Amino acid sequence: MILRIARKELTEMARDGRLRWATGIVVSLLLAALAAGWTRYRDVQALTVAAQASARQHWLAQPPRNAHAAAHYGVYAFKPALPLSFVDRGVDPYVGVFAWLEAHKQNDFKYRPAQDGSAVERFGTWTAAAVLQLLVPLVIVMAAFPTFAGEREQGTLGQLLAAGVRTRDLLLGKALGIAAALGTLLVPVALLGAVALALGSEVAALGDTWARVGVLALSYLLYFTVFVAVALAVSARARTARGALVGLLAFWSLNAFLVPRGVTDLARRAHPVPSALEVNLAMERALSATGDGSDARALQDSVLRAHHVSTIDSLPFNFRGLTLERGEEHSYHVFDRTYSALDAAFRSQDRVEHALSALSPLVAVRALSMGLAGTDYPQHRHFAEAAERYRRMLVRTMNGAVSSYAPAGPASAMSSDSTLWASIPPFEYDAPTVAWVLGRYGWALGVLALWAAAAGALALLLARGGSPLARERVR
Amino acid sequence: MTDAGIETPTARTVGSLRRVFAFEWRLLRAERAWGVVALLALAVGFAAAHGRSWTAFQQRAILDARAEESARLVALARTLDSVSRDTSTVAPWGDPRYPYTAAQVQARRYAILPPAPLAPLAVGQSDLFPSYFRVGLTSRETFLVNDETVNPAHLAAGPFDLSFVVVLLYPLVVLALGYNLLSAEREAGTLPLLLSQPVALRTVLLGKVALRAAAVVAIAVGLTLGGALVAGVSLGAPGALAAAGAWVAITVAYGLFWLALALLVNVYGGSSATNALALVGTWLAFAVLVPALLNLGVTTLHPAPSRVELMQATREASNAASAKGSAALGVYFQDHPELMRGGTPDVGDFATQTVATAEMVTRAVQPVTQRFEVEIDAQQRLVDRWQWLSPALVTQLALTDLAGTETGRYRDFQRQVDRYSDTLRAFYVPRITRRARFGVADVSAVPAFRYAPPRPRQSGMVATVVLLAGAGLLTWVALRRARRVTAAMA
Repeated sequence: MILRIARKELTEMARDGRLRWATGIVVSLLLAALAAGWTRYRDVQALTVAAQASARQHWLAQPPRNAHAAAHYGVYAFKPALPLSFVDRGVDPYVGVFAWLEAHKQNDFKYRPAQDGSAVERFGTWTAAAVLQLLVPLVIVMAAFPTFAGEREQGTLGQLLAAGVRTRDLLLGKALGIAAALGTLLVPVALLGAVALALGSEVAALGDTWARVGVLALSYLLYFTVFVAVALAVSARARTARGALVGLLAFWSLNAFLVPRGVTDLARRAHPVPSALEVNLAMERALSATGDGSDARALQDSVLRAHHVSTIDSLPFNFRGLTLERGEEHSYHVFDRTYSALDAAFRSQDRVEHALSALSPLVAVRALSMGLAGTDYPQHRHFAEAAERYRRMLVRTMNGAVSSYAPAGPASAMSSDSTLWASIPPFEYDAPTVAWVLGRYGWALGVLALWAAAAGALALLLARGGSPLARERVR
Repeated sequence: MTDAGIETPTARTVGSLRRVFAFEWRLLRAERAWGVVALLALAVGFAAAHGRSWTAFQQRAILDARAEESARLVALARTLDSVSRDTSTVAPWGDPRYPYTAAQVQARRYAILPPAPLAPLAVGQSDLFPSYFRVGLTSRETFLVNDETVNPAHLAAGPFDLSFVVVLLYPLVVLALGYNLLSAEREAGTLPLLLSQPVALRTVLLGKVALRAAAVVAIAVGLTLGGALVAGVSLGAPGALAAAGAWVAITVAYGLFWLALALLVNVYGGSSATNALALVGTWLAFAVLVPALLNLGVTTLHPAPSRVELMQATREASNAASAKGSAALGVYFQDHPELMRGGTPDVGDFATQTVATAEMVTRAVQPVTQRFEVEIDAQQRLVDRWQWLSPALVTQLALTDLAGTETGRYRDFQRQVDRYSDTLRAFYVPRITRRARFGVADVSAVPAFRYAPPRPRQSGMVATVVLLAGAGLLTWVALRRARRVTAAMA
């Protein structure tokens, strides 16, 4: 019975001109978005790999010089593009693309790509994620709004029920019909995307990428299920098809536009962050707090006492290396405090948003989608922290080299060469695993599952009793 | 009616028009259409409060910057005074009597872009582009980084400000008022009844549309004034009242455009559901699809070079410059013979060397920075030309223009800061190369940044006229079509 109902729904949908047009448009937009995202990913990836290689080359090609001068010269870290970023660009346009790793300073990532764009960029970038999050639900609404309400208007609903069709079967059949229609549209596109992914990314990284793809597919599946269930529930409840449609469109715009924008502002005001100026000034003040030299004098005295010598020139090592390293360690505290405070504020803001995903499943699927594509802010921070660890390793090695110089002597003798530069391994970054991502976004999967379950239950409830449908049965 | 009791056609039309108007008013009230309007009012309040808090946040940062600068300059004067008497009070590398040190540390100046009066109404690009820079002697590629601390996820989602309410939500309200203005009568079976009366379909339509148009105008005025009130816009500020007037005009024109579209769709006679879908589809196309596809096209035709590329060019240029070492300095003095006149510069001087290297690097990366300028300008021109494809885009651009938060204002500001940076260099570099000493008198002689507002672009007026023309055209087509519908029905 369920299958027969599903087949009838499919046939009806296939005959609906409106729906044919809409799905045609949506599928071509999806394909265009995938193609554009794919070329962008390839370009960015090629550029980043080349830049990282040339940064390494610059580092290795340094002339013999003081190791501290080399630390000042530093290297650059470039944010790599993850393969799935072609599906969802996430916050990529709004975070910097590279950072200078140099002595004394933890530089922030510079140049948000959106700053080199025009105002239309802010209307939203065209990605597959946008199509899946905004347009596919609209197609579902179009397909599902008349399912019950339309039959009720035409009077066929009463006939069906009088013929002994169970409401549960009716509901499942209609849901299956819509799901089948969606599947025939989206599965080929998804397969196409998967082929592109397999052809274009490195084999080594593929294992984790496939896991990400799997969870991503599951997330969107849940999201669509929510919409199908909500649409059926509203259609079962509404008196007329028009009423069902208006209600569903209201839900759609609330979900897609009002809540996602509204939550960000609530979050910002619930957990305000200091301005960039405040942050920078506080950091400068904290860094120069020990610049008066009293600490340096105390350090010198204690080191001289420990080695039972009277001047730094008679120490078994170069004292400058030690003061540099101490200075670095002091700055680590300042940087860690500043950046982790900012990070914590952003994370509290994110938590406010997460709470409000109870109002809009889009908030949950958006977070999941960005997280799995590797384009969310936490993964940007993950990269920034890896770069910072590399910087600290590099600067510490350079300071160690300075310590190994002769305690006294001409400046020309205090110099290192390419063996030291080559002793620094190239910067390599391992993106977090899918388990790491799920640790952060498990809640979103839960929210989506809850939404799907609640909407499904509601649909069943409304289709069965206490609804105009039940009255239909009485009549 | 005339005295003789005979109705002239015009008088009769006006009379029926008035009756349609009155009936529709009662119907709309009964339909609880005002619930939608109340929701909109809620959104306006929320958006305006957000705009207010965001602008206050920015203004606080600007005040902090000014306070920090003046405190620093006072401290600098004090240091200069004390160091002239006792040199041991400062560490040699922090001695502000060296013009280079003063320029880079204690005497750095802020270049500030003040927010426009209507800024709280449209966040626009103000969360993406910095509105102040701390300008030292470093090259422009390095000082151009002063990003505000905003959660990147919020930048990606976009702000909930009044311009968002106007551009995206307000059309939905207009469509809710008008999507079934004819189809509802048809579905209720009252349309044939209505047309059997001695009244033309056009008159009925005009009456229905006129009532809704009045509502659109009222909503636009209320939305702007209420928003401005909640957002704390001071309408007394110079230019504020004119800008607010233009804001109302654009909002009215934009609302009328959507109403005319609803009318047209109704006249083409689908069911209410079809009308709703067609209208929401159009809304989605104008508000999301066309801008996104335009962005795709613009960035494909004129891709901005990657910043990664610029960074590499800078790195290579500075490698080359420092490899050349004193040769770079020689080149520099060939270009600036006037600096030699003050005396023979010390070639080994660190500050002179740095300034020379920086200039060399700036010149070397000029082709790349030029490409940025060219491509971004080309993008902007394309957007300006093709914005007419989407009334939503036209409205958004015009509104942010009025609020002073559009891309162009920030680019203009950055160019002014670039010029200011040149002025600062022209002030400091001769002092550095001549090894002059920076004194107390110099503190107030350092040129300050003065923001020169660009000429108003009048884009609000153009947008209003174009939107009204669009609305007029759609209405005209709809009414022409309505005549044929009536004929067919008769």
